[in-house]
Amino acid sequence: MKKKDFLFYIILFIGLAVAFITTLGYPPRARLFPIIVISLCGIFVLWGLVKMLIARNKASSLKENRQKDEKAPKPGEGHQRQFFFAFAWIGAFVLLLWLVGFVISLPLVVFAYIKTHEEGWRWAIISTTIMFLLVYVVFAMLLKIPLYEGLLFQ
Amino acid sequence: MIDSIIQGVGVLFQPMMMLGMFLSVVAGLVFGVLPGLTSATFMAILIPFTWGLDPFLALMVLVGGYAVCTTGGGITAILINVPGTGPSAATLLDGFPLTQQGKAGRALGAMLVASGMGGIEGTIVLAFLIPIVIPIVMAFGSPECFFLIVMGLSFIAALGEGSKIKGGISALLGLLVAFVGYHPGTAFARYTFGNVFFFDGIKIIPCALAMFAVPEMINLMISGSAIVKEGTVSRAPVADMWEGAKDVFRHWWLHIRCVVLGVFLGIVPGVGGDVACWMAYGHAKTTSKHPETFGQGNIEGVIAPESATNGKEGGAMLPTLALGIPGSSAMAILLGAFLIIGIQPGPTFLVEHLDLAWTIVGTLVFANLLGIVICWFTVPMLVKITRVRGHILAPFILCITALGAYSYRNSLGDVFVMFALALLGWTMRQLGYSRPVFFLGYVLGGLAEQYFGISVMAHGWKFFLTPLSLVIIALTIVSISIQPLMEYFKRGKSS
Repeated sequence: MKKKDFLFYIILFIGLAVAFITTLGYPPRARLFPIIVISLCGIFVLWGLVKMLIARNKASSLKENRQKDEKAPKPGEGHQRQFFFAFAWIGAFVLLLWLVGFVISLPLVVFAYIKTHEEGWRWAIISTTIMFLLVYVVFAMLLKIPLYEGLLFQ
Repeated sequence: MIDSIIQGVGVLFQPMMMLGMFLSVVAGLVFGVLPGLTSATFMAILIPFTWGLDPFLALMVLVGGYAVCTTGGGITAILINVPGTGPSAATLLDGFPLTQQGKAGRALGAMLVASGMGGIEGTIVLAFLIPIVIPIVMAFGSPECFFLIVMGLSFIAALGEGSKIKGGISALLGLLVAFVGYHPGTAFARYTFGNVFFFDGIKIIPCALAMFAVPEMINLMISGSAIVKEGTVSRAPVADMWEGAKDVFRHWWLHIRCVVLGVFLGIVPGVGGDVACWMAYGHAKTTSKHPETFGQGNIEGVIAPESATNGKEGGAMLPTLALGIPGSSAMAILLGAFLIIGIQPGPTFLVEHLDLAWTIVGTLVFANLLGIVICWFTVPMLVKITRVRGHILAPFILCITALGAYSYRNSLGDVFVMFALALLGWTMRQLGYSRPVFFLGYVLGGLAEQYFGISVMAHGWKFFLTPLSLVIIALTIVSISIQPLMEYFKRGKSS
């Protein structure tokens, strides 16, 4: 967790530095609030980083951390794989949505996800039908919301 | 006066009117449940159907559905962590943990009663305030609005948990996200990277879904288990719902305070329900005997925002009816509907159409009652969703969040923004940053900057010297310092 915290602080600091430089180019009234907020956020990030570095330098805390790390259950390989699968699914969903639009992609994703996770046909068909009815009948037909049709069909 | 009340409320009991109200309440609840579809969308879609109708029936249909939209929004917030409307985002902070503990019925019961009663009580306050509303609304200029927003921001300290540094960073990141888009004073586009889509800023529904719904869905995908873990003992939903309803009466004083807060914030044009729910949540946490349990399934965390959010609806009607000033986008659409029907809201409205004003008051009361009854019988079936396996539920939530983000303003860009922000939301969740604090910063940041700019332009740098501003500043200082002071005195006594 400490490593991830450190990495997040660094990413935040770089992001804030870029935002600060960008903000300096804005008119005075438009930059007043953002400059205050970015500066304060930068101070907090630096404070967090310094606290973390001081804690790391203390030999005792290092020992404690090591002991804690040894005791703490490490996420298994299976868990990590699930994590990457989840993000891959979301990425694939967004791509599919962009290409074929809501009416096709939503029921398709529901069906594919349920089937690849070894659920039965019954659940897969019921869920896909409900999703199709929700998207097409409720949103597109009843509410007349102009749903995105996808890059391939536009 | 009495004649107007009898005539205005009596209209509600005509069979055609009752049927119209029933259908509009059902439609309003459905709109509330579906994420992305707000009360403003409800009104916008329904207005064409009201053309040619009797003015009383047309207004009843619009106001009836509008009154229960937020009630519907709380249902999905509690059951699957997907806020149906913007203000429901505060309800899920404690509503969803209660669901995970197998107490979805209790949370839903408390939500329904707090929201329904909040709506009714807010309307009663509206009825009493009708004669004196004009001086109240006129007393609130931009400096007073700015300090009200600052008061809301002061609750960041109360909402934050764990590390103060992470709490501070969360709030400031939320504020930064609020700055994306046109600067209200100069019309200068900020942080848009030249992309026209960002000129209008990042909208509340994609942001709420990204911070709360998508990270939860990712965890469902990873774990594959149901929302309620196997082996969790839970009571029958209906019995649990009664328990939740009783909770509102156990915490009646909190409920009343939050309704008053909601009505008050509703009256002030431009502050709105998104602020009311968070201020009520912060207030509940600062005054609770168990603030440490907030965020882990404290029923007070459900009662407070729901009371304020629906209580606000009555208050929000006041400036619209009495001054012709819409306090929110939904009220702006209602104002349009008034004009289409041929009624001019404003100071003369209450003189010329007092019977219609009483019809609106009656509709708000009866629609809320009807909303509670309908939900009471339908919600227990929905509780079963929480026992559905994660592998079946997760893709559903994924699709519903995408639909919700899109249908807010029919933009695919909002779906992309939601997933991009969800990455930040999930990281914040994993690393122990406070997402409620981020969201509060986001909701209030843009408003604070807007009112600050107008105040300085209109009144100069001494804008804070108006009497009402000084009162709000004093109240803010009291609300911030009351809890540390009480703790200090308690420690002093015990030592």
